[in-house]
Order: sequence, then structure tokens, then C-alpha cells
Amino acid sequence: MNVVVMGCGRIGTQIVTALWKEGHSVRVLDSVGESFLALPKELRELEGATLVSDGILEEELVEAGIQDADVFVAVSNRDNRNALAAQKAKHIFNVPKVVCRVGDPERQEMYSKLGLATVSSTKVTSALILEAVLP
Amino acid sequence: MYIVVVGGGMVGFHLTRALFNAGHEVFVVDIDGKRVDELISHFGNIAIKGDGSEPSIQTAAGVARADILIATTSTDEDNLAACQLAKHQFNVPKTVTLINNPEDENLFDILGIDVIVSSTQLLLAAIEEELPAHSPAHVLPVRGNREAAAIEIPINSGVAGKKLSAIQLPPETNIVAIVSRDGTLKPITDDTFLEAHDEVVAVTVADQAEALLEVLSREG
Repeated sequence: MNVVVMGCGRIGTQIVTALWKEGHSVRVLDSVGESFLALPKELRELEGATLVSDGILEEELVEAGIQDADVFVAVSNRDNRNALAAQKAKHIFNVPKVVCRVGDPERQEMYSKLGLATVSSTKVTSALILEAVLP
Repeated sequence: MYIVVVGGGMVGFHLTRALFNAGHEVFVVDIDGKRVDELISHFGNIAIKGDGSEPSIQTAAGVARADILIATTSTDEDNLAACQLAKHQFNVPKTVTLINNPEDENLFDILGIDVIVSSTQLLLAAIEEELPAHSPAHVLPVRGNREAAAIEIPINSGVAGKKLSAIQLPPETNIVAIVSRDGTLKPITDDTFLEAHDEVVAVTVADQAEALLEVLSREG
């Protein structure tokens, strides 16, 4: 699969690395170039695997290969930026599978009602902690 | 009406003043405490500090009973999130937003934001208006990738003195008004004559504006 990931923080790094190890073609965007240092050296040095971009300009999304992407994942640490980029990927670039990280559980529910596949890290983390705490 | 404004910067501030003076009930949300203090010192207790795309803040601002929410921050993603939350979580009947990146207009339209004001497009339209010849004056973007253009018939134009029915307009183009030189509105019928200096207001698809200009100004 061709996968474009926006956001190369801890979550983005994990996702990109795992998909790359599975043999998928990955491209990751981040507005800060140093973020890519957390990626495995081999992946980081791969031609075209990383792109310094905040994912706002459409020409940069095109440069990242969004037009040929099978999957777009928005996992930056900003909910609203993720939601905008993910909805653009879905409605403007018609990417078949779009997944968006939204920290705020309430907004996550709203976007999911609107048909956007969303994951709230807050919800998932707290559920796991509760599971570990409760007998 | 009850209007909630998200973003109390320059646009938000003056918008608030105008709406306030027009007798509306206005409430402003801004992330910056200094701006909130300034708004309160001008207009009374009508502003809170917070993220306008946060459900708890919209609840506190009374968005649930708002007739209109207007997003005026400098970041499109925050404006979109505020509008979508207001629309889908709080059922606000009308959402209005400023956009900074003109590329976002199409998406915001698809997502059902009611009124989208593109500052870049407005500036471009204003500049185009100043350009001499061969640029449709007063171009205003309209939804569906359409434009409203106002074009003055030049004195040497081939359409001056012709009936509307004799003019071949570009596809998907409707003339919506003809204003004569003295400012009176002409009726729009097949038998209406166009004259030099008439201003023709038409709605056309964006890439046909040039063709329309050509039709109306080509020398006869």
C-alpha cells in the first residue's frame, strides 16, 4: 500500500516504522525536520520517505503523493490540523482510507458521526489505564 | 440575533463592534487573554478566553442558543473545527468563516459551512478591479466554482446596440442585472438592448469569466 502519514511525533514514528517494516511504501510529513531523527536511519535516508511540511498546502500534499495514496493518516499533535488535513484527503483527494487522530473525545465522536474514521488517543489511553486499575 | 464570534483579532473586534451597534447580542471567544480584556473593556462582559473549537468553551459561550457562529481566527483549521462543532454538536443554523488559504474554500463548501469569506480572493478581486482592460471587474466568488462578474460594455464593443437575444453567452452564464450609465436597472428580456457603458452583472463558471469579458468587449 501507499501510505501518507502527517505528523512524525511518537505516534507517527511508530506507525510509519511498523508499516515500513511490513513492506509498505510510506511517506511522512512533519513541519519540523528534526522530528524525523526518531525514525530508523535506513528509513530516514530512503529517497522521498520524509517531507518537511505542515500538510496545509495542497501542492505539498501532492508532493507527498496523496493522489496515489491508499491510506492517509493524520496524527500530528493538533486536533484541528488533523481534522482539516484528513477531511481534505477524504473529500478533495478521495483517498480510499483516511484515519484521523483527535485527542478530544467529544470532537472525536462528532467527526466519527460525520463519517471520518477517528481515534482518540485520550479515550484509548484512559480505557487501557482503567482496565489495568479496575479489578 | 445571538451571534458568537470565534477569534477577537482585528476582524473579530471590528465585526463585534458593528454587530453590537446593529443591536445584536454578541459573544466573543479568543485564546488570548489580553484580547479578551480589551474586548471586555470596550463592550462589557461579552468575551471569554479559550479555544473556540473546544466543546466546553462553546458551551460556556452559549453556542447552543446562537443563531450564527462566525469564525475569524487566522488559522483555517481552527475556523473549520469551530464551525463544524457549532453546526453538528450545537445545531447552530448558520456558520460563517474567514479562510486564509483560498484552497480551503472548496472543502469548506463540501462540508456545509454556510458562508465562506476568502480574504485572499477579496484582495485579488479588489486588485483585478484596478487593472485596466481585459480583466473582468468586480469578480466575486460564488459557490459551485462560479463567479459573479460586473463588466462595463466598452464604447467600441460589438454588443453595444444589440439585443440580448442576439448575444452568444459562454456556457453556464446568466446575466442577472444590467445597470445603465445613469444607474437605472434595465429589464432582462430578449428584447433588451445593450448599450455602451452599461454595466452587465453576470454569474458564470470561474473559467468562463474571461470568455464573457471577451464576448462583451470584443470590438464590433
